Amino acid sequence: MTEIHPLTMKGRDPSHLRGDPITGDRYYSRDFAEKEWQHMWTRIWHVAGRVAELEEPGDYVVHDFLHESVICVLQKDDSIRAFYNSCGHRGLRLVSQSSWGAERFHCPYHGWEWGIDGTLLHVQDPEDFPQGNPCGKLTLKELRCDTWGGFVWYTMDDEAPELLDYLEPLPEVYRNYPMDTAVRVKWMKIDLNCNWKFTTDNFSESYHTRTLHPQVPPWIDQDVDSARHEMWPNGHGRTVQPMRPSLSDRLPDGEVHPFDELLKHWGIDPASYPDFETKAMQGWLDLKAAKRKLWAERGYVHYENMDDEQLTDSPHTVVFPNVTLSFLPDNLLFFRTEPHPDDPNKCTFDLWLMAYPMEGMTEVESIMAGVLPMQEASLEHRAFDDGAGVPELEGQIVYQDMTLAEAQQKGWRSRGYTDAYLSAQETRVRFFHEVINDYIEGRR
Amino acid sequence: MSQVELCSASDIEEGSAQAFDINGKSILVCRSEDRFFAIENRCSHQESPLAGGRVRRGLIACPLHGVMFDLSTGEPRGNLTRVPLKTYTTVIGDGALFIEVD
Repeated sequence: MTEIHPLTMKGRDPSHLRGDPITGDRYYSRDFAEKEWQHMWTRIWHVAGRVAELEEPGDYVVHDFLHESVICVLQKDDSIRAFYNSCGHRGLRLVSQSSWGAERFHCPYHGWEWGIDGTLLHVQDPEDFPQGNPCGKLTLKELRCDTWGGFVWYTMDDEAPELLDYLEPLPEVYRNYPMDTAVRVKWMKIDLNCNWKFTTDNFSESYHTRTLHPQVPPWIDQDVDSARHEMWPNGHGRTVQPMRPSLSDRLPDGEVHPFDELLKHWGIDPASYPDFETKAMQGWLDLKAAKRKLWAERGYVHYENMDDEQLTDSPHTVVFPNVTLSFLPDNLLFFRTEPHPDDPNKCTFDLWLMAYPMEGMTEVESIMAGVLPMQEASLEHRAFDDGAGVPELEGQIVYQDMTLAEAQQKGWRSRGYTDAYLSAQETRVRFFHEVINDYIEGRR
Repeated sequence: MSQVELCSASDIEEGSAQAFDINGKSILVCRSEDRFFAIENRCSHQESPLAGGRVRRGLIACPLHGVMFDLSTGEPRGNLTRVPLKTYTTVIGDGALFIEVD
């Protein structure tokens, strides 16, 4: 029996909504973007990076967000502390990129030196301050920092709930996944010409999959009644779809079927089923049993605590407001859009393809960028450029999504667009906007 | 082009770096993933020595402001500098480490 968390609302039931219109100005108005900054971005928890980036004390990740910048630095006691990236002297940014091994943060302007715990250690001419020597007295302005899922998080809001409360119920729902062990084998940031909300909208429904991603139905069941749509009070939500062929989509006879290959990999003969329907439905159950039986001897150590649903299915999860995590049995995919500092018509799309390590593994299927070395990747920052900027992603789900971005942004600016006309299975799209409105209008 | 003997290869531990003065120039020799690299010992951002920076996965991070340099090409990463550093070929012979200099 599948476990449904008690906080769960049915994400296919629009009676949970007020019916706030999703107007076009939300996607291009500078005034609306400023409200998002003032009332939402300064109050939510942000992902600064992966914990794995911080190998030794003094290693730090820098997260630039709009016009703000935050440093999260590993301390000698293995805690992580976050500071605004602004010198306490004249305000210059101290560092410009994530890096390793600062014994101290050195301001490139007047040489002030701050310890990794944020205290001021050294200044030039310390006796020349009429208000007193600032060393040992001043500290970098600190933010709250925490970790979950192998990610480093921070919030600018001293009054925000604790991270695990903010994420509720995701830490409980996903407790069986060893997320902190996942290795980021592909790390991309892609410039897109659309508002950041395009991606959360898009990842909040699977209604578009048959049209835009025709390669998906043969391996993830896209029949609407097969999916479970869930949403939670803090704005998060997910769609859980079985990783088995949709019964209403069939590949032409003779074509190699990805589900057949998966069955064979786990020692199941796809020809042993009398028909396609039995293979899809019974084969999916047999796959769970085979994984349950064979994971240990085959070294799939990340399966150890997974339940039957997690062994075969694909919970695609939005973390309000701008992070999406796709929990595949062998991979963890992180997607995030962040607004452009000045132009609400632009954003960046972060694509982190992660995989769970297995003993002796030197290469891994990254899911969206082919087979890659099983090691931490370096950041690649590109423009989408109508697809020319990311040729290795061509034909992949995210690439197909990105091809829509500019036309969607333009359509939202049309006088012909006034509100979305949503199906029940798209309920989470409007829910997302209503939670944003809650922040902006003072209900959260 | 001539080869200059620096030290025994085993003197430089994995993930570490050591500076040598060669013909008046400071050159940093680094060992990463069991390969030896030699690079100018200065950051092209604010001219401070790279010595003391952490060495991992074929990169060195400047200890002052974190600029990273690719040890095999000298190319910087990030936006503080776009000026690459000069790199030198390293050679191992009979357990000794040499670099090739002009």
